[in-house]
Amino acid sequence: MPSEIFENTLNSGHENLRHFVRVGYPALVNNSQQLSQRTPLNFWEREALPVAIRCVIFSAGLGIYTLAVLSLHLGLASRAALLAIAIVGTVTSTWASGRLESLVLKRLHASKSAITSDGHVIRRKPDTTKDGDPSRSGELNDQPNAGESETWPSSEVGRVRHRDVDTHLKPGRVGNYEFTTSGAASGVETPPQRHGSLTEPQTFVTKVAYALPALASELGARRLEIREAFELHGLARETVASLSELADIWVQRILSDLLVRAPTLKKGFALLAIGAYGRRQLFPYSDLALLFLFENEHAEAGARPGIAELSRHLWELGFRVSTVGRTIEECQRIDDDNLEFHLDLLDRRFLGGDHEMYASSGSQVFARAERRARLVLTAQLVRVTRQRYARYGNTVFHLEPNVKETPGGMRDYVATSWLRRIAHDSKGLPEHTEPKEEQAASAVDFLSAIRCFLHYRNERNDDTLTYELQDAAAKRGVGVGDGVARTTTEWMRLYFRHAQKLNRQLLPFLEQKAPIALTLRQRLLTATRAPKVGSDKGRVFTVREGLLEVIDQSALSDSAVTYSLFAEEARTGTPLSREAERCIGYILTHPLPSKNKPISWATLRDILSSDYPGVALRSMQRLSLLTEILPEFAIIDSLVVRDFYHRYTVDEHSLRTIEHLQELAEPPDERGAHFASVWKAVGRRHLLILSLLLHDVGKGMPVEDHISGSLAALESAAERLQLLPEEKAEVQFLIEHHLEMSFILQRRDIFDPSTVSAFASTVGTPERLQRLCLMTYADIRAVNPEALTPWKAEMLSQLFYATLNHFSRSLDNDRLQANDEAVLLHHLRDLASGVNKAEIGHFLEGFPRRYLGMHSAAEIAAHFYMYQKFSAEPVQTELTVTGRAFSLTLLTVDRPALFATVAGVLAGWGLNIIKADAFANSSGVVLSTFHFTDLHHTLEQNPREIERFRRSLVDVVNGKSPLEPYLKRQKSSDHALGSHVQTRIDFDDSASAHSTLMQIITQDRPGLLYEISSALTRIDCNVEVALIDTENQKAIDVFYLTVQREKLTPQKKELLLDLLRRTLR
Amino acid sequence: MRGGPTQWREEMQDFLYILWIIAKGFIVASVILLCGRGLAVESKWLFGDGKEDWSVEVIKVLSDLFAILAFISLAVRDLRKYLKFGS
Repeated sequence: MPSEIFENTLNSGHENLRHFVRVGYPALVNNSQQLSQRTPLNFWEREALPVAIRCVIFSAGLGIYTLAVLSLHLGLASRAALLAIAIVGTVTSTWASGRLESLVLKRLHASKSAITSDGHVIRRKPDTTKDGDPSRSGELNDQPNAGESETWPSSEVGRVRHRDVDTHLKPGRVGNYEFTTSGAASGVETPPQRHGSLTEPQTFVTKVAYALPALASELGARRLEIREAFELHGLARETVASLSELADIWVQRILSDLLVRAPTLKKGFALLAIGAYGRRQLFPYSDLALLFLFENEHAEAGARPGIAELSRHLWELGFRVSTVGRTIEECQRIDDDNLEFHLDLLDRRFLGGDHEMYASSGSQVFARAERRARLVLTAQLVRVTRQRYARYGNTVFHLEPNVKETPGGMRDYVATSWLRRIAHDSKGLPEHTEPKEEQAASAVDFLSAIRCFLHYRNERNDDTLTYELQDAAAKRGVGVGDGVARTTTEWMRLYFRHAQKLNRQLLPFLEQKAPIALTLRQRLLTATRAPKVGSDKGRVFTVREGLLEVIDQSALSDSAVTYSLFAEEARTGTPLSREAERCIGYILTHPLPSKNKPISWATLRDILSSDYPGVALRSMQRLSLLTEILPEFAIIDSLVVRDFYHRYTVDEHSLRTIEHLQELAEPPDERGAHFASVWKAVGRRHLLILSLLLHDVGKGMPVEDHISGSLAALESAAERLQLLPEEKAEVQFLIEHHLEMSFILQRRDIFDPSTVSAFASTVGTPERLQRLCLMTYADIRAVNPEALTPWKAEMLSQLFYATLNHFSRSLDNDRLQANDEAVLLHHLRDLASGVNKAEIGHFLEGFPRRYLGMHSAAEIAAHFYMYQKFSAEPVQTELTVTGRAFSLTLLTVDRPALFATVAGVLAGWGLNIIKADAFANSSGVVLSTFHFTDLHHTLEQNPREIERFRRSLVDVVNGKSPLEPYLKRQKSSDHALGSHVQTRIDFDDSASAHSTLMQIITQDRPGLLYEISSALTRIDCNVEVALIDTENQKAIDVFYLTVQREKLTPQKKELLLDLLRRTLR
Repeated sequence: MRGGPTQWREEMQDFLYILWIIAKGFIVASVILLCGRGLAVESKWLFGDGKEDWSVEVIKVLSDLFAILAFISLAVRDLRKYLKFGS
């Protein structure tokens, strides 16, 4: 009977072996490459060979040179040739010695390997087998068929999981070792053997195989007990510990059996648990990572048959083993290609074998090697973690997270504990405290419970928490402890909370700059000097290593200071350090009532309208401050909404929209490049960002249409934040129509003018169009990384520009009638107290409707104040600094060449106009706004010059001083950039009832606007409306022109065209 | 914690490894210098009695140069490896 069992095992083993060699082997090699790499070169090969090679090469070079000298004497060569040979010889010798060395060492590696018939390289051990057959015994280090995979039948005996990718393994080969069959003895066809002559294999195989069925059923019963205990009590920690303990018992049992039968193994061999098994975190279907440690290669050769049997028996008992064999000398070598193995080795645990060898030399060697390679190991771990984060979109908040791999998963915990261990004796690394450990423990328990649950449910090593399993886990209250059922939403929130805890513990390590190997001098003369930190007196925070650090923690008790920190983040894009976040978090939970004022809309507006609002909002979310400021946001906190397209939770999606917008400052790809200029030009960004924060809040409400829910949330938010009515209306519009552009892209023909016209009438103003377009871009992009295809981005951009064009052409016809704007007039009267409606109406009458879209009520009120001061000073100016540019508002009565004059003064002062507009009302008052940058920093660095600039502008406009002296200042380098943009000039008479529209697209340069407007003046053209815009290097200028209150005649157009072409050449 | 016997041992080991790198360089340089001198002597015999002393000198100088280059190339290789992984 026992021989029958053995024969059956062997038969199936042989069948499986063939299958394994064909499919499983390449996959195994691919995944175990890191583990199985080792350097087979000995000391002399490593150290003496380079010396010898250099001796030979340089001596040979010298020999050749001597021959050259000799040939000179014999008259065969000239002195120049001798010199050339000397130079070439020197360079060549240096290059050749390095090249030859790498070639020889590579060959040496290869000579210790053999290439199998199926293309796999099998490294041969130094000749330890008697017959020296290179195809025998070895380990894998390369293979060409990576990625090949095949589904194995369910009757497979076991699977190996090397690293993270499942590979399947059949009996016939275990880990890096080929097991030996004794089929020949029992008359069964024998598979090809890799091992050399073995002394005792038959004994092991026969005896252990005989007992296997009974052992397997005993083990199976114990496993079932553990599973039932988990299902009854849901205690993950106990389950994981029991599984590890069970594995320990059985590994040690089989090992001790082996040691009794092969006493030679008692010396020079130790079995270690590494990786998850080493740290006693064995989940139901996790791998059993084992290291066979040998004192030397001789010990390894002797132990090989025995350990192959050990591995095979573990497989047959249902353990998923992943094995690796190393000598002590190999373990102390840490190279680029075996760093992951050394990371696994950090969790080593002695299981059995020669303890004396392990304790006296092995553990010391490991510790020394780890100390030495601390920097390299840390850098590798940080790199691997960053790659993993990038793979999962750098966020914890996935709708169907992988409990092990996604940020916040169990790998984060392992990486944190490794980094702590590697860095335990180095300074400057994040401090590890007991509260942190407690927090981590509760999170680890929760996640461990989920992993156990998933393994048992899937009956395989699969850690993806799918929607279906989320429901099942929530119903059972997995990980919560009380076993009470929760709603899926509630339970997933718990999951994300725990995942965030683990994630936060790892992030401080990742924030550190990647360790750089110290210079030789630093290594030899390691000083105990700590880096000197300069004092930052009087400042609350400072930037260190690209992070905002709090210097004066006591100042944070004032919430205004805290908000200023977020404002700084939003302004500069410099994130808070984890330590600063910790300080703020502490203060927020221990507030001083007197200094804990709620944030005002003005402060929040500053944050939202900055260049990097996403950076500040992300910190605020981590500190739960965002939900304090905007309680409406709390409803979507970690909210999973099941959707075919969305990849992230609703709050994560909303924050990502904002981050995608701020990325547009330097667009990451072509899709973003379409919208970069729109982002730079868009006004009232804070309204756009607020809309994005609230646009999906309705998804957390029990309403049919999430938009109506979001609008309801806006009502309460607007009331609390005290938004102005027009601000609220703008946000309301954006939320209400945030799906409009997507809808048109998918369901309408965007090239049909009626579609564009209908959409333009819905949107109303170009400024609103900009905001809606950006919102649509960000919303689609944040759904998942692939949602915004380049084609979709292109279509969105086309719809935007078609609508914008439509606005430019219909602008002049759409004039304001004061009587129709009762609400606005009422509001303006409130803002400008002491004036009557009629006066305001008189001022507004006749302005294009677009004027209202471009300016807020407060700005219009300010313009009206300027209008009121007209009698005292006929030219009113106001200069403000708006972030990166200056903004000049000029109000005066229309006069010839007004636009050209202002543009000329600005050009004369070296100021580059990036945007401008000019509107006239029906009483002939012109309101011009110029946005410009200060090319030579004249106004920025000399605040006194601002007054002089204003004075000169007023004098030139009033005719008190001439324009020419200013124009002489203009640099001759104006045309230096050359023309990259093809100049295009178009006229359109149909766009307006009484003006001719002229659109100029040309290369931007300082003074351009002055040149164009001078040309217009020269042929007596009057500028009714002007819209000046700049997109990178492209100037897009639209003018509504009249000559004596009539449209331009064809002759005038021709004349103007000719003049402009000559000017812009 | 910095300092202490472990660090002292590590530093000493590093120092010895640097010495080993230098020693290897010296071995290479010495071999090349010996070759150079040998060739110089041979060439003197070839070219005749002291008539072509300059060529002997040239070979000597070049052998010095080659020795220095070999030293540097070996040391650079070893130091790069050392700075990355330690001794």
